[in-house]
Amino acid sequence: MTMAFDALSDVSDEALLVLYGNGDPEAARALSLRFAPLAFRIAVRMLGDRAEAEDLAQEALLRLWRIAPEWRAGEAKVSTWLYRVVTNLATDRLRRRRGVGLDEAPEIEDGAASAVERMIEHDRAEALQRALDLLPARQRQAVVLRHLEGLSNPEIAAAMEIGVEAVESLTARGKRALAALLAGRREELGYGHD
Amino acid sequence: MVMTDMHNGIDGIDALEGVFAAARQTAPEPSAAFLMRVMAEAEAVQAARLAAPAAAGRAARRGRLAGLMALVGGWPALGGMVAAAATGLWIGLIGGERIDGFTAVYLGASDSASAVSLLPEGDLFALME
Repeated sequence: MTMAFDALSDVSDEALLVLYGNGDPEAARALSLRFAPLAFRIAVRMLGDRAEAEDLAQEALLRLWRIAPEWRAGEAKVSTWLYRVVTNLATDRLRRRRGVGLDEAPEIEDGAASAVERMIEHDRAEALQRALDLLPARQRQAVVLRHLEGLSNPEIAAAMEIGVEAVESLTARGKRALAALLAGRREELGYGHD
Repeated sequence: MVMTDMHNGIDGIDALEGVFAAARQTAPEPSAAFLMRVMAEAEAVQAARLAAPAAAGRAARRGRLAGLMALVGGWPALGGMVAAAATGLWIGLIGGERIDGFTAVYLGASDSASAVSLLPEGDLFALME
């Protein structure tokens, strides 16, 4: 059955995926418009590069199209699945890019802030992105999902396949590192005076 | 030192919320070209999957026919089977009495019992020893 495109706006993510799996072409378009921006946004946050983010988001979505016929309702939320796939693919790319185990990377030292200070632009969001780029991958993943995507800690735990306490630890360490990295621009970025 | 204050002080962590809010307001948006590529790929994967069962069905039917042919010994054997079946049908249609005439003409005997002696001495059990 083919439904009018507008009629699909109220359909849940999971139902839409089932429609897609059943061959509804409108569902293909609706799913693309619903999830491509999300996948792209997370990928940019994780990688800091639009072109690479497009490539990664497309790869993640291709996996979604392929598993659609086997999707079991109630097993997982589509958005949680996509958060997991995009951030994991991004972490893999970051590891290849830097050639080190990012989870074992040392904590950001105060000295790194001066390097960030040279890099950051006037835009606050851009400065944050440059600082995010310097975080260890798992901290970056947790901070992006918590503070930029607005997910709850249990949702992040499901996406990252770790416990809630581990999520709290990662976000706390990530925020401390970000604060240190952005310290040199506190006034410009809206921290104000002491 | 300012940096130390930012690193360790709760004020620095709280102030980060303002930066996060600014980043949320300026979330990266995908280009139209990217959205079109994603959409085209979604439709292509869907179309390929819908086409796959029909092709698989045709292949399965071809597979079953090939299996049957192999079982009977291929096309030459099938030709023999068809000829035998046609002969059987012909015999059935013309009736038993016409067979007597056939054996008399082609086997040189006046009755079917003496005309066809397939086993010398008629000893079937001797062949089985």
